[in-house]
Amino acid sequence: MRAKLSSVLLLAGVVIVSVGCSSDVLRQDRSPMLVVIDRLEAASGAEGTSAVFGATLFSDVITVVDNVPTVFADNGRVTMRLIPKDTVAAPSPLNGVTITRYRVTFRRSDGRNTPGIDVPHPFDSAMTFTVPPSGSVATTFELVRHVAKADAPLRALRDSGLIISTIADVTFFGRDLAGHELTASGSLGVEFGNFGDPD
Amino acid sequence: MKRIELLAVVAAGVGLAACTVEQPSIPAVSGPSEFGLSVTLVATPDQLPRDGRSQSIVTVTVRDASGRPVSGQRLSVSSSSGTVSASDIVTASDGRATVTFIAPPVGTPANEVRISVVPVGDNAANAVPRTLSILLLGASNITIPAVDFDVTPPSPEVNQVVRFDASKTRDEQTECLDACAYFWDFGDGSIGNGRIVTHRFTAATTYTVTLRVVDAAGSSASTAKLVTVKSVSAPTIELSVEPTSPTVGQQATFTAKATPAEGHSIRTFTWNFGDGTTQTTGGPTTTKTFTSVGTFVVTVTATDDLGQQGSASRSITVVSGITFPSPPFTMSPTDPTTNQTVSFNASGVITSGGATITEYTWDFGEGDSPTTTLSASTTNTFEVARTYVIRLTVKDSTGRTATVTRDLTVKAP
Repeated sequence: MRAKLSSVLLLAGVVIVSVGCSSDVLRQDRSPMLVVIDRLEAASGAEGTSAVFGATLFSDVITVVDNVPTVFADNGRVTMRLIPKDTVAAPSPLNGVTITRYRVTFRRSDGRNTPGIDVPHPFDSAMTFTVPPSGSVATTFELVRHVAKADAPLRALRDSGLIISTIADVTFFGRDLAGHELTASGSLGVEFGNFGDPD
Repeated sequence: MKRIELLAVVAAGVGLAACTVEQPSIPAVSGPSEFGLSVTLVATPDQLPRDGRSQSIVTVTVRDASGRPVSGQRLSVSSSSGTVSASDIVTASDGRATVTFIAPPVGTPANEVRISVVPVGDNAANAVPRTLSILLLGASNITIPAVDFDVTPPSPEVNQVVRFDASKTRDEQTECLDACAYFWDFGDGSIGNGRIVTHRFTAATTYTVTLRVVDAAGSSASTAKLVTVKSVSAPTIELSVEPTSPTVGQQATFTAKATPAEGHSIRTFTWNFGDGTTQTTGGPTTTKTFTSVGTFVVTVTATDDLGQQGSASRSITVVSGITFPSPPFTMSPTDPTTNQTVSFNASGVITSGGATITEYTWDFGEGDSPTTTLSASTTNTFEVARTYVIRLTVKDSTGRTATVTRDLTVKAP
């Protein structure tokens, strides 16, 4: 009888292990919450307040405004929400996740990914917002910096007429209010070139 | 039995650990904080006087996207004014390179110098220039010259040397003198340059003389003055000669009585004697000895101190100095026949200056060679009846010669 009990316990443990580790949800981190990126979009900074966010960014490396060549940064917009790992227990405000940093890395499908030569340099930047336990939140962030457009390889696109097509991988870093660190990643297409300027 | 329980607990523990050890570690901050190739410039000192000598050391530091020094990076260096010791530099192993900047000279108008450094790579379209400013100290040349000049004399005469002096021109509250460049337009189609210049106007009219001055900073200004040039009469001149009809070999004295305009004087007399010879004298008198007979037009030109000229001419006849009577020689008989002896006598010929006749050369017109005699008389017989031209040439003791002819008609008997 005791042997059967032990066998049952052993089996239960194995089941628990197999169930827990078979889910990507549990592999993410120690936080009881999962950060889900609902949407990752971007808009050309040259379009100003009328910019329309979309899944692919056409980044204008130089924009003539009132006959003045101008460099604009491009913004991204991310929409996040949280999913509790424990679907039974109701989340509390302590389960909220505060995002404090993000990293942008550009890569190309042809594998030529040398920063400063083939693609813009990757960079880290900071932002702070809290994703509540329930509901979603959207915020904008700088996706393509001014300096990237004034630096190689984007600077040469001003007069060359070429276009560089990249994938921007954006990783957000944060922690829940209990101190558990979390990450969330998303990607979107970014095409760099000297596109037509708005009127 | 306990061993089995232990295994179960361990298995469960392993399973739990497998699900929670993947604590995400947030990576350190990375990525360039400026351009991928960081180029910083430092000038020591960053302020220099405008003296053309002072120096500043410009240190260029190049780092890559990770902040590591970049060695062997070529850089192109230039400056808005002044000079840099090198226009092409390369960073050392510490990512640094230095270049010496020499301040621009006095009078540089700019208040600062911008030194530009451009990385040299494989695509100039990617090159991002970096600049550094060095402040220039001392007074800058920011004003245009105040142009002024003097004209001496203020109302010149034609061909008079006029002196233009721009020493009164000022720049930056002081006399510009040779620190400025002076360009003149005299209004008669001629130009000049220099602070003090001279010019002659060749016509009596009013000219607009324009002076343009350029200072050391390249700023320029102009001013113009009207210069009225007065006309001056040319010298008048009268020419006399003594004797009025000189003989060959006789010295003739020419005198030019020139009258220049009031206040002026005659500088030179130029003589043209009409026989291909000329002479220039400072005085109004000269002499000339003609070597041949004839009529010559002698011209004298007087030039005054303004260069104006007046001329006078006179025609003179130079004679041989040997005088023939009328008729110049006698023939006897005057109506000879053929084969009759005719006597010729030229004893009436006289010569001047105490000379004597030394030779008589007779050409009787028969086609024979002339006959020269020492005496004044001779004879000849004509064989053919016709008219002959008798040509007599005499020569005196000074070498002068004279020729005369006379017709003789010989009749048949």
